[in-house]
Amino acid sequence: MSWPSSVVTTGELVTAAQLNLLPIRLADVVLGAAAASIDVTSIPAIYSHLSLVVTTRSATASVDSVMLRMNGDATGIYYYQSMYAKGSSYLASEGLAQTSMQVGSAPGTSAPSAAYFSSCEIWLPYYAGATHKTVVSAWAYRPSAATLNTYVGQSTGTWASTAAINRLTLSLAASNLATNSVLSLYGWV
Amino acid sequence: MGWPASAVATNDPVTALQCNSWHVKVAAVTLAVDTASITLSAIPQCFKHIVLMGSLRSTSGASAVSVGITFNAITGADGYPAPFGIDGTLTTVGVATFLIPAASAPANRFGAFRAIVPNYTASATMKSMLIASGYSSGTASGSGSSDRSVMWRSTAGPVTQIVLASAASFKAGSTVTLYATGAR
Repeated sequence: MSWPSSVVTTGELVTAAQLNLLPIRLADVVLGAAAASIDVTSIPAIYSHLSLVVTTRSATASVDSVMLRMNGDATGIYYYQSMYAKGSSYLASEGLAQTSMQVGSAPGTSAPSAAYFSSCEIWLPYYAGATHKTVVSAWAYRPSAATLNTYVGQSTGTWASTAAINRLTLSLAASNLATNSVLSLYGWV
Repeated sequence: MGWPASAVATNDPVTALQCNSWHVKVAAVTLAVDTASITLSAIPQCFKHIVLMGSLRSTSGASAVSVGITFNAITGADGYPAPFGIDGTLTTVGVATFLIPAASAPANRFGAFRAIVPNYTASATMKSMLIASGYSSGTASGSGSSDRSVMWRSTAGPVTQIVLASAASFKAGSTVTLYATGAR
């Protein structure tokens, strides 16, 4: 059959080649206890792009930055730019020659309850290529019940390495991830 | 079976209707040599929405340049870019959408982007594109992130072709993948 040039019709067989056009979840982690990081290793190189869906909260800080590191590389070759808005304010910040990149922010102990988590979606195009890896993330969180405390943001970060990404480590800048923080990793053919 | 309302169980048959709810790759381009533009043509018309994802760099002498996107080879004053909710200006040739690193940026720097065109086959409504992108063009400064919406101010039928272009050429190694989701 010709799918995806046309729709699948009843009775048609989906071939392996066609199944290989589908994005798929590669990893899914839900923290059962507070932890310093979520580490996904042995990421296969057969996909074109990766994406992450993440929800996080700090176990100890009032708020904290959500950070991403590639291949366990802690050298200072990460560059990032973040922008976010709350209320009528718009703010931006950058990080140069850092040891990980900011991909979002998370609420913590200042939130009204332990149910407050951030949401973040991260896109990693051409993660296995021989170029420096640039990622884009969109995120939002609410660290307080007071007014002017709903944040919406976007970040971009570059890991200045030509190595294929085979490991992703999600953490907070200065505190532990809280129980029930979640990371799902998807591969896009 | 009830999937996707419930998980697939062993021996459950997957129906055509269920297959037609999948996300699927429909085209991919990775440049082997520097190339002036990237064209995705003959886009299937059987899906609901399309998604572009890619990694790009320009050969232009600047540190960063804009990427223009054109639908259906129509280059009139149909584009209307609006960065981060701020009204943009009319453009006459394609739509200046997002920045990517260029020749003055450190070697191997490529920008990232993801774009969605909802309801791309509509013939009675104008089509919008939502683009999230980012790039780094230096080591002392020069990282940029943008969230942009673009409206193609045309009801001239479904989107059948998308062309990406920038100043000079796209660098070899640039890649764009087109995905579609959910049959109409």
